[in-house]
Amino acid sequence: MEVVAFSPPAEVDFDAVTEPFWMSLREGRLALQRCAHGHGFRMPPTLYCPECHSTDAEWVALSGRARLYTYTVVSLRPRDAESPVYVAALVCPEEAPDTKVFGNVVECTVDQLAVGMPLELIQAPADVDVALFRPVGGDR
Amino acid sequence: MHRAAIVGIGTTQYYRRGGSLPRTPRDMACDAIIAAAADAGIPVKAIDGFAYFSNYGGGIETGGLIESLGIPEVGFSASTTGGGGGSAGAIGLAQAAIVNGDSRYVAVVQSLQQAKSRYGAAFAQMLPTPDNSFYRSAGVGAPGQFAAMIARRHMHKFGTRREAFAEVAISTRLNASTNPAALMCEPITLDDYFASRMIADPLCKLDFCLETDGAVAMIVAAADVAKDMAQKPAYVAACKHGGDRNWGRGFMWGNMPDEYFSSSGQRSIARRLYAAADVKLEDIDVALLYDHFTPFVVMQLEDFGFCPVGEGGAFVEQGSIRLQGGSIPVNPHGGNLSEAYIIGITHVVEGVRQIRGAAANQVKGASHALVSGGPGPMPLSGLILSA
Repeated sequence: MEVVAFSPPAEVDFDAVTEPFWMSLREGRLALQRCAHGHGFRMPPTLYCPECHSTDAEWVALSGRARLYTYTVVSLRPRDAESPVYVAALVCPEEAPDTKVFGNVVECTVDQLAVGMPLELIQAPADVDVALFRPVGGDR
Repeated sequence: MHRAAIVGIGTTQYYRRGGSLPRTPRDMACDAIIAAAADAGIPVKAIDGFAYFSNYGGGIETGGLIESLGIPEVGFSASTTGGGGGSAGAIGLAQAAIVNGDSRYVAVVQSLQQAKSRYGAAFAQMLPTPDNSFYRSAGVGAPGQFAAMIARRHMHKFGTRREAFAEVAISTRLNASTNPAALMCEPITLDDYFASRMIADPLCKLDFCLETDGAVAMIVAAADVAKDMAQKPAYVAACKHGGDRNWGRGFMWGNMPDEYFSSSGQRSIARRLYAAADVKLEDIDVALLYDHFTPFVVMQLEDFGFCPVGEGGAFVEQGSIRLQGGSIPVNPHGGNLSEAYIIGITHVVEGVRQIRGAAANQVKGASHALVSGGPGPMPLSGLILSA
């Protein structure tokens, strides 16, 4: 079975609040915003903490390890059996198990996909902004 | 004590998307409003209020409508925010106008023409924003992809099978096959379902609603006025819209707490709806559940209390939603999946027809109908109509 290698490139936009997420990914790191007053991570990033409404927040660099929360397999051109598929996913970072991050999963076959499977962040190609993951134990 | 009722309904024919050209959305809206006024037995010019949902221009703004229809004055013009989530809730806006004394006859209107772009593709064509970049970066944008991710989680948590989604498609199509207004009339089998091409795994083409054109209008009046009018009133037992933060923007947020993630987002609406109506779950005779995607029918059955959370799959696989023999017939008109998709307003119309005893596929003796707004970014909504 064919290994999923594809992640559809898409232009992204960010503002002052969300920029650190994307800049971290460009450096190959997964970082999440967290309330400085102990109210946990939040995704997407927001200016105000939804619990205490403070704007005091910190960005925490994470290990990049995550678990697959849910996914869908999408064919770029559904009518064409030859066209590549990609895996759109929501993953839960190990350090933030109740937080979900959108991303793609590559270096796996569709049959290998299983909700709960352990994943690790890998560097996305240059000029591509996406949280890219592969199953733990893949080739470097 | 009911305060308002739906007293008139009017629709255009339904078309495959783009098939309504050269008609315009405004022309179709006027057609539906004129028909609804005639059905109600009132002059068009007696309409003095407008209520909408998912209205972002497209030719059905109030000014243009009253110019075309010669309506002399309007005391109310409002829409729920968000999208299809408010389809049932627009009736509540009309009730608010009447209860507040702003209008005597409120037209609730929706008109859709998907000629230039279709909803399935529109998301993909969107420009990047800080908000949408999170899912856009992963190649997610079309509603079906979001629905697929929620469905997959429901399958993982509860063991829900594709056969449950198939049953929703099959039952709904069977209903459409005996509805002259429906666009898709060929019954489908389980084999047809599993042969249908995948679009966003686990969802295949038969899990997706139609992309169609058309317009629908309804007239809402005060309950004490309604009882003397041309048609049997469909009383508003309760109508609620809104929602809670556990769902928020729903699948476009993705961060719903796990307990709510694989749901339709309707639990708080259901709670408020039953609390406000003098109608219990057991009294509901027919459910018009928003079926943009089959898994959301399964999840709405759970969220509106027809079965426990997690058991929706087994509930539908048992035949519970069938018109013949089901414990709660769902979408006798064929729904968004097989009759037509006008962002869910056709479900309100079917609710009215069921209460009148005039539906193409009539549930015998239907006295109470539940109508749901579309699971998506809030506000969501729900409506109970009573005879």
